[in-house]
Amino acid sequence: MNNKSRNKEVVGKALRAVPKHLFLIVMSLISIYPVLWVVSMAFTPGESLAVGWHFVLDFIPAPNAPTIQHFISVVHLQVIGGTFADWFRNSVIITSVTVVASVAITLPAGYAFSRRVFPGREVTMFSFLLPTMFPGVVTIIPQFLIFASLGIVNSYLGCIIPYTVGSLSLSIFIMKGAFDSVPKDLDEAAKIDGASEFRAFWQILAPLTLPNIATVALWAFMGSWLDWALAHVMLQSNNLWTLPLALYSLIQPTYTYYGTFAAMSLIMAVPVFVVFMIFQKYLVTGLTSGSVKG
Amino acid sequence: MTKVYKEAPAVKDLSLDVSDGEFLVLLGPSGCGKSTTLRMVAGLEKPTSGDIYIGDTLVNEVQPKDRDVAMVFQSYALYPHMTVHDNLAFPLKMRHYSKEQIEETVGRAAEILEISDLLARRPKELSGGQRQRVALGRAIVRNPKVFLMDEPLSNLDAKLRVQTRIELRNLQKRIGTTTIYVTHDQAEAMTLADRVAIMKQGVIQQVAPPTDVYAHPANRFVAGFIGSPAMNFVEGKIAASGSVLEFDAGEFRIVLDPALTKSMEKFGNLSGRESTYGIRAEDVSIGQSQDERATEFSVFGSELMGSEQFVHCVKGKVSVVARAPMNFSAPIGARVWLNLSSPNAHIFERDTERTLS
Repeated sequence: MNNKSRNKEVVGKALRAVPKHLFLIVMSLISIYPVLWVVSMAFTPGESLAVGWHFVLDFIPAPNAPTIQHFISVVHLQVIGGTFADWFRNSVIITSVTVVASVAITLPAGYAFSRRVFPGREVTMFSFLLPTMFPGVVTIIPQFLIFASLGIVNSYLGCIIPYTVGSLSLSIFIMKGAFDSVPKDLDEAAKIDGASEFRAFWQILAPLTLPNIATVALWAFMGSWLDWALAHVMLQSNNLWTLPLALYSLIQPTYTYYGTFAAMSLIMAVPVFVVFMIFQKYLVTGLTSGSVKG
Repeated sequence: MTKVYKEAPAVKDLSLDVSDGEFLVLLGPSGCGKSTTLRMVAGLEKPTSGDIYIGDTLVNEVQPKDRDVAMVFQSYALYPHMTVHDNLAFPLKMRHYSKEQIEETVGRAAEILEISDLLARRPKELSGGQRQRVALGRAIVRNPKVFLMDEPLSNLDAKLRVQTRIELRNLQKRIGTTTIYVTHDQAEAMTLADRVAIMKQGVIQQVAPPTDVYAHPANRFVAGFIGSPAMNFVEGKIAASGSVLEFDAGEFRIVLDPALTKSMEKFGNLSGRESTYGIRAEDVSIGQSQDERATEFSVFGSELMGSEQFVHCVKGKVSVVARAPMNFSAPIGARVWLNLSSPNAHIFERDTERTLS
């Protein structure tokens, strides 16, 4: 009797969940479908769109004769003085330095904003919000002019500085919130236990904010790895291009290399995918715990 | 160790000596400055003025990490990302103990506190009582000069709290480390302390062994704060009736016990002085029949405690709690006779609240 009613309850619960899940499935399909096209394009011979493939179940695109030719083309891609190896290296260097710099700046900054009282603390916190109120593209031209006068246009720094600075405003808020949620008792316990302020920060507080650090790192990673607009303005030499610029070069006024374009998109997406998989666990807690109190 | 701190709300002109190996409890209602005092000893807060000595060393400008004090927090403040072992080892690592020394010392502390089998766990996998032990362990592990404890038992449930406070007392006596302990729980203070310092609004009211604080409170605040149920207070003035001193409560008079009268002599002639008469529930004799020395009250209610009961009685504006045996029949509204004359009663001056006996 009791069992029966419990079963009824379980079934009822499952039934009520159906509309929600249907909605989620439909939304997922809408987001995934274009990706299926890209995958199909990447493995279909030729550079034309939707030629040489068929639809499984009239719905899922699939190449008639799958090939990895486009991936090989990507690796051998050259545009007057620049090679795929150059671009890949540029992207990796610019992104890594941006990620490391962002974390290195926001970690102590978040700590200071959370734990220290200093003149101008509130004003500074607020001023970090200002740039987020303007669309990013607005700042590209002034940045270009300033960097030109500093002579760092057409160099890694020309990208690394704006990427890092651009990630700071949100990231410092995330880290301040993260440190705010760590009880002050822990700092004090560490100090009494014999730790200097830096030790307490580095060995006790910082490890407790790892989920938020992961969020900050990912934010910086995405901002620089996938950026096209700023890189397009700052990096003029072909051998200094990042991957998004190279990808863009496949779209020519008269001809677009759809197959190669798709293959390169997938190659660029792999690191993003891997990073997301690794940090997934952290990201969910990081985004909530950091921002709620921030 | 002496300290003066002169900012209005926190701690005022506090001066206190804690002797070596002593267990001193700072007791007071919340916001009385007891935690601030403790934090100043720890070095987490700076006194506005005055000096703090630990041993013979002036420590005002000494960083917390160099004061050789250990602190147990109400929240325990265990490091969540470290195992119990690493929590205990942290203060030793900070003091550059060798690996072998750390293992040995951590092992010994874990044994004393019976947490040896928990060493590999993280704080979130421990019960409240276990966490509390680990926090204690982290304090004793490096054998500091002073233990500072900020309400370390208040997050435990009642039963565990009673058990732990006895263990804590024994542990402190065994190790012999000077301890300053902050609490708002008078029962804790009474069981743990060699001496209790009672604080109110940043000012120490009395420093004395628990039995003294109970039997000879320095003022009305201490008298009312210590003891459960709280001491009965009757407002009125002292009156002379021939050679005998009486307390005139308006509606009735209490003949002062000769012992009480004698202890009041040193304050001179108190006749006519506005004052408060204080008597504990256990010193009130309650009876069901008329007695020439007793005053008639009516029963307002009673609390049955098991072996005894506390009978709440009223007469006009005066209410008095008396202890009675469990079988004492006291229905609400019944007439009872209370004899409020006792050698253990106290007289407090109305304006200054200081004890006049």
